[in-house]
Amino acid sequence: MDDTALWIVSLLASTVRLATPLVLAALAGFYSERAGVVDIGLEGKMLTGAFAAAATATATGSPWAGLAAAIAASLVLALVHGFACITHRGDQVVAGVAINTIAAGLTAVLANAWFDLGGRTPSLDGTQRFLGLHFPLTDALRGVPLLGRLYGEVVGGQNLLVYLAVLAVPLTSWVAYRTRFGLRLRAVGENPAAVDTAGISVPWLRYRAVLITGALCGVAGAYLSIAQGAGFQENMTAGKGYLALAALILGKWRPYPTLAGCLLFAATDALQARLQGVALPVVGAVPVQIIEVLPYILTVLLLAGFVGKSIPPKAAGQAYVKDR
Amino acid sequence: MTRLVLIAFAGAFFASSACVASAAPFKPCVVYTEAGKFDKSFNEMAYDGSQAFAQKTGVAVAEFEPSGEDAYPGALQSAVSAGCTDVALIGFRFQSALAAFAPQHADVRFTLFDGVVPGNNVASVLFAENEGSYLVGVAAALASKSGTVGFIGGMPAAVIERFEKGYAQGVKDTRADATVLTGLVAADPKGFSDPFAASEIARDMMRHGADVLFPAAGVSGLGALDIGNSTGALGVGVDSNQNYLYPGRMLTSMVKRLDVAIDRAFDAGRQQTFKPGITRLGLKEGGVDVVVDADNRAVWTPAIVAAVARARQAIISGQVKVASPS
Repeated sequence: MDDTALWIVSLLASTVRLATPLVLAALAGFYSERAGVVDIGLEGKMLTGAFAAAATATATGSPWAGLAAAIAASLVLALVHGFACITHRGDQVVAGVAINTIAAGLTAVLANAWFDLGGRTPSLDGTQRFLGLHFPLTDALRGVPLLGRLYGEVVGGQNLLVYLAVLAVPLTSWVAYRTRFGLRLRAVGENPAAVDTAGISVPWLRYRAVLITGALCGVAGAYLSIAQGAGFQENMTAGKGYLALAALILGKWRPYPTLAGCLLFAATDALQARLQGVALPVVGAVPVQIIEVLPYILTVLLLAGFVGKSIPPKAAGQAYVKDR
Repeated sequence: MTRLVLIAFAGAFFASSACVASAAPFKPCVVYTEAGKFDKSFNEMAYDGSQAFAQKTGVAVAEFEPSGEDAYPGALQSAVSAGCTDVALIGFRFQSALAAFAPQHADVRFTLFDGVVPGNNVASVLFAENEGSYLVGVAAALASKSGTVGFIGGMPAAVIERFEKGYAQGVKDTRADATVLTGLVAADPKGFSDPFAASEIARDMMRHGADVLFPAAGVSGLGALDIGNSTGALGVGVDSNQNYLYPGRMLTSMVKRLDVAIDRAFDAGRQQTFKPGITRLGLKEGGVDVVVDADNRAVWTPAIVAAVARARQAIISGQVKVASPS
């Protein structure tokens, strides 16, 4: 019994850790796409953020400087995306892909040029990273079955950026559905002409949305390289930006369902580490390939059968032209 | 660049002072990957080996550093245009570029490390990872307090399996009741660049009591080593000496001695003993080894030192056969 409890606690803790970068990136995509700017470039912005964070933390010794650099670097790419897609009405998907390509190449080249470690940054020590926070009463409650461990290892013991991601969900929901900015943001993604008629600048609104996207991607990147990880490695985002997009689609471009999507993907990922080589009843040991495609199969199945039709913001992907 | 010039100078100096009688032209060259020759890994070992060769023989070694995989064919072309007779290619990623290029240049001898390309002018040098990993397994079995050790591979592949099987055999031969946990980071090559996923697998292994972790997963392994270091397990470096990462917390590193291999390759070219086809360098040839240095000496108890020395002898003499899956 205790063994099962331990297993569940470790699975949950692993899920929370794995979900954090997905949640941050998916919310980043939420702002951009709800404002009508499709963003394939989440992956590239995360990767750039991860590199900037690790490089800066290495140079300054401060994780806070690393986080700031990650946000700044990701913001620059977000501005490039905005400049191409909002100001110059370029193709949003093409611009996003370009950002991913630039990020993958540039981070590897810079890492090589600055650190001579074959495309990674030096390993960071504890003082240069955001480490797990030790909550009060953790030791006192350790004895309480299940709940004590749940409190110590899932609720507590995570690093600062995890809590930031947890807070970002209700905050995003509040901003999007309870503020004037949020209303306009959603409107500009559905019907920019109406927003324009109301005398509100479409480009300025979209730029703000894209900048929020940049900031959140930067935090997600910093999480990978200076909180959960101990340095930058080439291509370390490993497709998490795309997975975040999938979660956003699965969540029908709404904050809480998107969070659920992220948690689902993270849980399958956490299970992957635990199911390998384990013989399951009836089917036996499952090959790693099958476990790995689970998130994608789940997305297709859930979209096809359970969550129903997922409709993107109406104006997403279209550049706004004032007088046609 | 300055270094290249220096080597060239040194080469010229030696060539003029020593009376070289060999009639056959010989110009050794190295083509590195885009990671560059100071990557603290494969490329750097190859660089060290070629430097030692230049020192030893007085023959300058020319170097080429392509900027990426797209530039590999161009780098091969520049090497041949520069008059190289013996070209060493660092890593399996040159496979496709070389397979297309080698047949057109039958008079140039190519040596590819860690990969296989057929051809009468290509020597493919592989490493017996299983033998080096066996020694790691012996050391791990004795260093482990819990009797449970972990192995994390990058993806399903023959080379990863050689690591895994050799390691497991080494552990079991030393301590029959020990448990070896194994995991793979991913099903495709991204398993070599996802330290986050590797760290989650490492955490789960630690939960099952593993106190030695051996990741053979490229940079993903760094995630596993980080978790191991912060929670008290010993780590094992791979491919190159990674003991420096966590001094005192690394059991050892399983190195593929590219420096030894490149020296052999150039020697063969110089002495006209070049042989095309596949060679596999194991413990006997000094192609693989476990590293003991200042960073991990404290971990090596006399018992480990003795057991590893015995196992090494047994493998070299053929007394112990380490299974080598494909």
